[in-house]
Amino acid sequence: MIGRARAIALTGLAGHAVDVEAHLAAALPAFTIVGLPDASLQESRDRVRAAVASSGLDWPMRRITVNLSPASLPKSGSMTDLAIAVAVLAASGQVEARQAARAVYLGELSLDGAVRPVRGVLPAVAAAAAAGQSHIVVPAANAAEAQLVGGVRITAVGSLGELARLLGNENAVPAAASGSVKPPEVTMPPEPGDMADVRGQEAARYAIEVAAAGGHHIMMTGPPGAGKTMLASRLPGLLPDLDLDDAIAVTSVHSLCGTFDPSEGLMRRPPFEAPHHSASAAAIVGGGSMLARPGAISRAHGGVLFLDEAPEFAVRVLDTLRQPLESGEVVLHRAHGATRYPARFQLVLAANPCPCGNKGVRGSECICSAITQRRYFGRLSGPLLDRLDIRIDVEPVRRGAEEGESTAVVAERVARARAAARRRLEGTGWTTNAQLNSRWLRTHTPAAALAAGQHALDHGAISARGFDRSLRVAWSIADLAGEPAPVAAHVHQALAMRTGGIA
Amino acid sequence: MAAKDEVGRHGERVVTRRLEEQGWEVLARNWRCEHGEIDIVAVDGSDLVAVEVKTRRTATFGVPQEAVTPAKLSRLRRLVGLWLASQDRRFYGVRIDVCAVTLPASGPALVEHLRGVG
Repeated sequence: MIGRARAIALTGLAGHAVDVEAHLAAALPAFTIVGLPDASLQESRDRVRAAVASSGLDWPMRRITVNLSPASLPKSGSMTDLAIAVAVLAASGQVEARQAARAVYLGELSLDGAVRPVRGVLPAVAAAAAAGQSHIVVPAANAAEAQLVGGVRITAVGSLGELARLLGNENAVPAAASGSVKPPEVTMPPEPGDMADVRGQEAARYAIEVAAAGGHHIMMTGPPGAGKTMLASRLPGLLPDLDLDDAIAVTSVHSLCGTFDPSEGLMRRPPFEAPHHSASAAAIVGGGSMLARPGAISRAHGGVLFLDEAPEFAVRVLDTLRQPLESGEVVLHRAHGATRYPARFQLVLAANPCPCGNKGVRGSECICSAITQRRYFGRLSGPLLDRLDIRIDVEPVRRGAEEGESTAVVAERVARARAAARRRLEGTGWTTNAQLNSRWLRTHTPAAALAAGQHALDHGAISARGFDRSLRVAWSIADLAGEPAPVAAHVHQALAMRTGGIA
Repeated sequence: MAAKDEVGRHGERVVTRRLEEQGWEVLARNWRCEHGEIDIVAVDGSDLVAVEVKTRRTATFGVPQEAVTPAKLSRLRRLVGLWLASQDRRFYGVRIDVCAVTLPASGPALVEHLRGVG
């Protein structure tokens, strides 16, 4: 007697279809799960057994072997509880076996037979749909999230008894009042503030606008209280809505982290992550044994990663950012295999000019020695700084500074600039100016603009790589100005955004 | 004799009768040595079988076959070896069966025969 059901095993965001088979043998009662289950999945034996008994169903007094196939793929977590229970019930003839074998089952069981919500339902349902499955059974509390994926039939169940009745068992008893099973509490990030709140700071405001238009990584240096954090937190508000593919990837990561409210639908706004400077490398890039979990850079996918007090971060932590900045994803290797998470984010660094914060500030005196100052910035490695297209100084706010334009006004300009860039880059695979390579820049930038940059290069003011970066920024400035291509003035402006102090 | 022992005896009698009806040759009942006891030693075709009989009146404390633990099985294996050493007959194979007997309040006893459990 063999019962079958289907489940999904998640490795990072990649889901694999898993065939769950249950075999009943006339031997001493035992229950074993094979197919590389981890400790959390081994525990599902006890949950499944109790849930079946609590649902008015019989636990077969046989030697039960459950196989999770492909047997070589490591599996983890409580998401397969429901599929294991259905396979056992099908093997013992307590549910309609043919009907049971046709669907994918996701959910964790509680001892009273209720089906509890699980994390990562969105990527799991998407993977099931991609694997050609047409019918997916999910916990009632995850129904809204599962329905974000189109083209599949979703059945939401509150308890194992309810599911057994759907599969033709009249005697099953649905768990009493499953009202105790609530969807996981989610605290949504507060709405980003409005650009109008930033008083004065015309230069820094413009730099943020250029960064938003071209997707450039940016570093702001300035004394405490100058408004660096305020500016950075307003950057996501300037970015356009995510497209469908990005929205699904972003929502999937947050579904896996349990930081997403399905009642709002797919996450369409770029996320903003601001980890504290005491964060470990694992917290930033993702980590954990067996199955590595996504870190701050993956939660910032499609949005902004803001590192305040950047030189206070551990050197090792900062250097882990280099590979994701290059490839747009992070690959975490563990003994059981590699996990891939998307990590294409816009990096915003903020730093004080020196450890005491007073260097270069009129009317206050810096007490840092030369060596402390050097050490402070020495933590930001050359390769990391190399990837920042824009580096600006943020001056302290002057008295009586005027209120600037609102987010809505600036975001509209950014949207127009981004649309212009996308039209220009159609067919190249790139969507923003920050992605342009050296060859493209040198063949497409008008000669007059190139000459302006060449002058700075010849005088040794910038490196060849710095030259490319300035050209990228110049294209964004041109896009914002509504020009078809940068002119010399745009390159000069871009150069000023590299060395601190804006033209 | 305590009531539980009487239940056990009754179960063993029921099982012996069933096995003989199936054409098994029962060689010994309640064979004892210093290490323990085998309920039934019988021959099924060419195989020697040590049968452990577990009898229960209710399933309140679980079904009878659940009471056969891995420790009990390993002791049975040792006892079968000792039994074989104590006589001269040779067998094609040796195995251990469990017969789970449930005695309902009325009606015939229910026997579930699990073959080759250890």
